Amino acid sequence: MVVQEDNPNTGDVQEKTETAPVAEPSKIFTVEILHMIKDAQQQHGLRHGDFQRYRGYCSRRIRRLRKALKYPQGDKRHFKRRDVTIGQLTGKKADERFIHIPLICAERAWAYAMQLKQESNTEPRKRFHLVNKLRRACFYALQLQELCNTEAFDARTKLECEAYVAWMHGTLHFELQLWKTAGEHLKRAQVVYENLGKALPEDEQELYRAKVNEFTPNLRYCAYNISGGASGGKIDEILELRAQGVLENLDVLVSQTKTESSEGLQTIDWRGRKVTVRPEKVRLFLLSAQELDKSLAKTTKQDAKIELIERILMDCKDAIQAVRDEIKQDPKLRSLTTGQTVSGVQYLLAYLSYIRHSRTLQRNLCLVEQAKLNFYDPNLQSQQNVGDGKRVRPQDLARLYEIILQNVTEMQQINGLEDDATYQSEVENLAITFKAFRCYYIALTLIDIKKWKEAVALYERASNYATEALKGKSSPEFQLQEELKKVVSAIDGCKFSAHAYSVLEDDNSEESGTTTKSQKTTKPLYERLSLYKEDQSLHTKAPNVFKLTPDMEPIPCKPIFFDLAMTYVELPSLEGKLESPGKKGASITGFVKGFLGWGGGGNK
Amino acid sequence: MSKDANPKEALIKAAYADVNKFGNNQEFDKAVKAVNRILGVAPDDPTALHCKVVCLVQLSKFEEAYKFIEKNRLSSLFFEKAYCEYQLNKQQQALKTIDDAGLQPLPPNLKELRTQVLYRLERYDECLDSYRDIIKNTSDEYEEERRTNLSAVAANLAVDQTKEVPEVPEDTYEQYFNSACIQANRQKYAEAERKLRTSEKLCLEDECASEEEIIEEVDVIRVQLAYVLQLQGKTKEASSIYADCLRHKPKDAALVAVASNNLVVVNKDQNVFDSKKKIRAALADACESRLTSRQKQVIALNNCLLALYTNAGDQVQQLSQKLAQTYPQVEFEALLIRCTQLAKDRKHKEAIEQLQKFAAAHKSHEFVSKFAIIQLQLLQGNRKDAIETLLSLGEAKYKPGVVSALVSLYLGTDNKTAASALLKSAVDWYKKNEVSSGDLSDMWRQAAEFHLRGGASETAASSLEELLKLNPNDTKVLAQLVIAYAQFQPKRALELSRKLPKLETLTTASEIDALEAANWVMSAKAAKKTANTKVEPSPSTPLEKKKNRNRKRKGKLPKNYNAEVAPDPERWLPKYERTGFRKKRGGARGKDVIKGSQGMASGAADQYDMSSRVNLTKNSPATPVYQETAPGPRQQHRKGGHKKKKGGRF
Repeated sequence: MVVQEDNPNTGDVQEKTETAPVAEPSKIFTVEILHMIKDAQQQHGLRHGDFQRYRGYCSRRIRRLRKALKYPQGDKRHFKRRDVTIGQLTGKKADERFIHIPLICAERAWAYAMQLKQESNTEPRKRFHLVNKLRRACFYALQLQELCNTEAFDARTKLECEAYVAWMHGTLHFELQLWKTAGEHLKRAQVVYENLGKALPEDEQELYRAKVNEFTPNLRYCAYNISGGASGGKIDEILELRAQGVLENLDVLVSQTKTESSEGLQTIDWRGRKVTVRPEKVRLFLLSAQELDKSLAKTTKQDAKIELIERILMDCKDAIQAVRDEIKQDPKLRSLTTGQTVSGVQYLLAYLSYIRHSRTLQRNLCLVEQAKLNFYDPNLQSQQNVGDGKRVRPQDLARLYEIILQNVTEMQQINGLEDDATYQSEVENLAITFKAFRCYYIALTLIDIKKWKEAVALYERASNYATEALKGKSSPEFQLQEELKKVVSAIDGCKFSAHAYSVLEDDNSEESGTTTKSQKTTKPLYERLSLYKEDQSLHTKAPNVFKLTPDMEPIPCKPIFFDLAMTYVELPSLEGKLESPGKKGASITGFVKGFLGWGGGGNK
Repeated sequence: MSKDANPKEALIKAAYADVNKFGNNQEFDKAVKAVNRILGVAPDDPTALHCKVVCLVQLSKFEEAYKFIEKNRLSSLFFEKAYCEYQLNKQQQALKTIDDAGLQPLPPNLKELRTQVLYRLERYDECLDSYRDIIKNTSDEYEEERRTNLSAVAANLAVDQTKEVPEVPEDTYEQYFNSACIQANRQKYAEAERKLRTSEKLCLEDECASEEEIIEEVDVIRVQLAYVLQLQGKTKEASSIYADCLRHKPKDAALVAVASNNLVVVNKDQNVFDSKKKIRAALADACESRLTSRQKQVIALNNCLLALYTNAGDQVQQLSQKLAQTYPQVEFEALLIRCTQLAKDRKHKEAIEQLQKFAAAHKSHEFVSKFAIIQLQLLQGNRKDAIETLLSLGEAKYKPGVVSALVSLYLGTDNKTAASALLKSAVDWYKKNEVSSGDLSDMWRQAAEFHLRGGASETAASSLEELLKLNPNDTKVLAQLVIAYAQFQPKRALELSRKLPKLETLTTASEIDALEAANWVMSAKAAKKTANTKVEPSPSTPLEKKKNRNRKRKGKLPKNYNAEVAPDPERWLPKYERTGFRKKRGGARGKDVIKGSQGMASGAADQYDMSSRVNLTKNSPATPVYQETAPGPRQQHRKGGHKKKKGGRF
């Protein structure tokens, strides 16, 4: 009767496998069943063979999953069974975690069986409980397989589920001492795991190889129990599996898994070396990093470019963190870190660091371009200020180039690339290029603060750096030759200006005195026609061109002027009319007239 | 008949004797009466007629004397007639009278009078020559007066700055005064002030004149001193002197006019009502003949300006019109005053039209009128017309001042192209005309700076080349030329930079490395500091603080503590161990309490009442004894004890 029950199950499994469609809908899940189970078992007790602890973990996990996914079985009072159906895995509210419920249920039952197996040494009756738990585990495994064979899961998940179910049935039949069927199931599981391991990247093959090795003792025990024709039995089983068509379907699924992994960017090729990429975050980041160049080509504004690059840098940081977490979790990889040769993960980390630094450099160059819009370069005649923002000083540009140089220095020191001579020379050339720019803007700063001699010296140094950078080999990612040539020509022009300004500095006090003298005058324009002065009062309501209203004038007193003619006004001679002595009278009259004339100053 | 002739002659002789006597005594009014008696008898006596004219002149009745001469046709009295005309301010007629006399050479009296007439006619050159001739040929007691008159003529000549002033003597205060007038007219006010103060001192020391005469003379000197101070900018001092002199109410109308006018000038546009009164005093008819034409002109101009300051628009128009008619030499000033009033009334256009008419009529004032027009146009806010007027100045538009004004206006109207073109055309014009003068250096430099600023390096280089021609060895211009050529022609800049003095380059590479490190550029605060003057402050060692120990505080003492009284020796012993303690009282109290409680039976109430009656009757004399000796609580204590004892008996 038991054998009869087993046969229909096997037939059902075969039928479902054959009839399963391979269509791919828009939403496809990938569940690494073996990887997930191994992680859970390692962290929750099975490292020490504590199956009871693992069982408790599974129970709590199922409870959390049902609560989080809002898929309870009844309420507190009444239990109402609710199995996961295909409806939860398709549609709008589809969630990958629904598939975890039957898987963890199977694991719980299996763990309970293993616990009972340990206890059955002292109590033989527990073997029957053990067998029932394994049947329950097989039931949940079949439920899982039913869900995985739908359109919601990819080829890898189907293969993993196939192997899991075979392994679970093999375990059940092994305990029931049905050696023949147990051997068949375990063999099938081993074959599927072996092929699945070959199809996956190198980093993940170890896990599957270990699982394949686990089947060897059990298979050997089954072969031992099958009396007579052990080797012939194996060959017959293989032929029987081939006849059933399992291996043919397996090949198809394996090839699909390879295709999907290549689409998922499992490997990268950088500077002549191929490295596999395991973390999901890193793969997503690399895909978006490839899309970044297209987005940047479409964008014209510097602000938008900077925003895009900064978003990528955030993703890059997350990717680097994921790789570092992977290094921490794997002791094997950790030991490789101290080794001399660079491991794949280290190389991947170096590649991500390079991407981060190069994108940071690109972002900083965008910042420089943005700053130059508002920067007035006195040495460039045709330049016009297009920007709307705040005016930029040469110190700001020098600071930006300082940041760029720090970035380039860090780029030189990426782990794993110290011995790459080509890379080091490229980065060195970049450093010299940006040193030239920095010296140029420092010279402009010195000119702003009127330090002409130092400015000339730095112009010389900037010119030397630029010439050296032009001679050397340049980085293919950053094309700065044109800008370097422009800087060299500008330096040729403005070096003489700085020299001349330094000469002017000696005569500056004299000239400023003259200018101050002419500028200080407040005379109207009419009175200073020979003085050049751009008078701003011409634009006001009180222009200083001509004094329209004449001034009031004081007048002086007249000089003192004597009326001397008065002295000649005198009476005529009366000698003819008088008989008295006239001579004496005349002399007296003259004296008196003189006195009168002197006293007549009132007429002045 | 012979008897009749004798009385007339006797009368005439007596009258002549009176005339002679009165004339000698300067009593000309009485002399006139005597002469009239003679003329009553003998109307045609020439001597009597002459005497009358002389007397009238001496009495300052010039008009009456002049009419008398005309009526009697005394043609022989040339001198007297001319003198009357001179005093009646008919200078031209006086000169004609003297010249028509036909006497060559002139007698001394006519020569003297002619010289004075020339002085009044303000023909100072002829007057100067005449005085030199008189001084040379005449020698009498009036030598000093003639020298003073000579200095007065020189003072009037000094008004014209181009003429040479002869040396004048400085012996009397009048001569000092006239010398100060010369310095004032030459605008050497400090020197004039010094001479005026000397003149004032000499005048105050004069003992020949009376007090009133001294005051009058000193006032003249002080008004002139105030004038000189006013022109030196010391208006407060000048104002006080003017007010002080006017308070004396001087008789000289010219002095009043001068002081009043100058006070109006001090007031300017302030205190206009007081100024109105003063200008009216200055414009009085009394001083019309006493003032020179220049003085009257200035007073009239000030009157117009005062009307302008009082915002009397119509009066300004009338007064300026009259001013222009009366004094043609200040016609432009009158027009400017009128235009100022029109500008105040917001009639800039009309003012500009009047100025344009005046400029068309008077070519000599065309240039200055255009500047007045520009001023009005800018007041109006019409920059475009102002620019056109500036451009219409002909070759004068290339003067540095005009070029700078045009550049300012062009930049103000955001027309950099026109400003650049103007500067370029100015540069070309000066090149073409080969004008070389020092004043152009500043314009070349400004033009170069403008073009460098605007980005037109080639034009700037052209200007700087011209500057270099003027100053071949000027390294400043050479440096600027290098800067200009560096923009568009580096080769030429390189050639010129070789002529520049060698630059003291930074020799140490570490210094350049320090600059390149650019740590100082990162912070804006450090950027201001020079890179070469970095001095690290040495860390100062913290000073060790010396700790001063505080003295322990005194112990607290009770507030009513008395140091003289010794404390109680038993103050620390328990109360039951002290000497004054009574144990009996405590023990007695305990016993009584116990007895009382036991003795209080149920039947004791009635007994208590009965015993109380008995107690009152028996122990009544004992109670006051206890009251006298024992205090309150003891008395009460004993009393209670007695009552309970009797209760025990029962």
